[in-house]
Amino acid sequence: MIRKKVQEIERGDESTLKFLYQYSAGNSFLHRLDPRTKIILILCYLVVALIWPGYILMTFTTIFAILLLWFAARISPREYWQFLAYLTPIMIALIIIQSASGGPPYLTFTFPPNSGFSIALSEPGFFLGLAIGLRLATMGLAFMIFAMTTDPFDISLALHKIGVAFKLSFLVGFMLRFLPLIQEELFTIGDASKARAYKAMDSKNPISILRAIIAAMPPLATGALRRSQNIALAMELRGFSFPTEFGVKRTFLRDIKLGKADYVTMALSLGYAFLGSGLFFMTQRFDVFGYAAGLTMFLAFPLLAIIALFTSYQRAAKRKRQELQEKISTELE
Amino acid sequence: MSSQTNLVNVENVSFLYPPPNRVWALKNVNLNVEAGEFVALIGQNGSGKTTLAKCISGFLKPTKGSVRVHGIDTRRTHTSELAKKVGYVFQNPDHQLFKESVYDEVAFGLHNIGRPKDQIEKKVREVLERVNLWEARDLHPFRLGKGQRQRVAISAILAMEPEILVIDEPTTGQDRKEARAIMDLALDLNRKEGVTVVVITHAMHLVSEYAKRVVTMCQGQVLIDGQTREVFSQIDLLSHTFVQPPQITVFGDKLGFNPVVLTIEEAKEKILELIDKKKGSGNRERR
Repeated sequence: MIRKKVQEIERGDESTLKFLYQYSAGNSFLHRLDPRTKIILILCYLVVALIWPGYILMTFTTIFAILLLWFAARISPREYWQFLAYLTPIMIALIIIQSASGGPPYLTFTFPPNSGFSIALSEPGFFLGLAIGLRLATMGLAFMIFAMTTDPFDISLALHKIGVAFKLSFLVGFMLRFLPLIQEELFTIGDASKARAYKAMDSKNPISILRAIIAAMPPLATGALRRSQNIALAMELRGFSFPTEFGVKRTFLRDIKLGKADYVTMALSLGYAFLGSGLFFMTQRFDVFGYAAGLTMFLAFPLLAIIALFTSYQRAAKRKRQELQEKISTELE
Repeated sequence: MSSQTNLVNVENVSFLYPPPNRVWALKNVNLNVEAGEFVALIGQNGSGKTTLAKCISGFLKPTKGSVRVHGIDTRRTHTSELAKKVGYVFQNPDHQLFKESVYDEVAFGLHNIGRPKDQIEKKVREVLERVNLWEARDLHPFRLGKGQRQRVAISAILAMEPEILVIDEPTTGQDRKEARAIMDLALDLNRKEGVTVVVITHAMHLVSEYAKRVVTMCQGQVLIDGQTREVFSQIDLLSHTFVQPPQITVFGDKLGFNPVVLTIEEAKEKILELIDKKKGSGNRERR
């Protein structure tokens, strides 16, 4: 039994510090992608997932998201099993609510057997509930794809590059970084109250644990405030607001750049979104608007692709011309 | 059998920190503490002192082996249950204080063990007067200085009248007066009330003055365990875990005092003896 426990710990199954946002460091394809690319990838992924009804596509998008995390980010479901575990009861609840409230045709059961009581479950409701649940899972997993592969400070850098003021973008990245710290603080308060024979934290009853956590909220808040004040001071001591106050340009140790892989991923995901939603309008809506929207979507993507290729070609040609000119001018000198 | 005479019984304990650390912080540690002892836990940073102390007070459950307090396995009880017997004072008082006032802080533990109200008031007053903080009872703990916060943390544990008091580095970052006040309090509790005290510290001069027994940790194992004088005489062995006995002890060792001296007073006597002896022999030669 001891050996089993040791193995468990060594394998990393005992996830003591997992919370809402957990960045899982690595150097995989998804980790290397620019945060901006990942935002586009996820938005495109979600557009198709939200526009199409039905549980069959949703099943595929859910499974595909898990596979994407597994193979493109090298993060196995074992690392975020808690997330899936929390999702399951929500999905089941959705299915139950939908099948209890949906329309005909109904499936009737007598339950308990031979008792004369019958329960009517709506068949379309069941599948609708399943679809909603899987859609929820897709959305959650899309967030996980982003959250688990993107360093919080890269997110803030990306926001800054898009045009958000540095203070605000830093705030976003720091907030995500702060969540695990707050969780740690909660554990510390838990230990401190255990040291004073406070039983609720040790109990297995979820209600009393919840009560203990609520009781820990005021000190948690003061602790977070104190900690953030200290951090703000430490940042100021290293000249955080110097660039804004003295008009110096801020430089960055880490830089994010859009590479070839980023452009290809962006193009592929935009293509997926356009074609996926275009196909929906073409096939699912039998009116003029549907055809028109579908056709535009279908045509818009190749058009955009051609424009993008053309501009990039022009840019490359321009660069080449410049290089050539520089070469000539240096040779002449 | 042995578990009945020993208050704390640490048997072949190993402890593995979960990921991301994954370090064996303790490797096969054996330690028995009897009731009424005053033990100092010393050793370099990361040698496993705090882990051992947390295992004794039940915050960490050993990965292998067992820790028994009063013969009760810590793995079989809740930490909050064990807290009635073992009082653990955290390394950083800020990690232990979370109430709105000093008074609430001390009363919190008493409420949890279900003391009646009048007794709580009496006890809080008694404890706070003992650490000279009764005047500050209505202040927020974070309004106090570091030494005072440390004393609040200790008094909050003290109020619950534990049989064993484990204090993790109480003298770090304290001036001489505060450090002495804390150690005097611990000694007082040990002598007058028979509380078993385990102190983790890096201040060797305090160890030599207060502790009767010293347990030296090195890389997750017990390096030397014995009477203070016995331990401090093994200067070479202690250097393995980057511990140097008090300067006066090392000085005495260089002069060839055996057994080694622990305090300046002892050294003074020995040196005077030595001088007398020299004088005596010199006189004899002259004669």
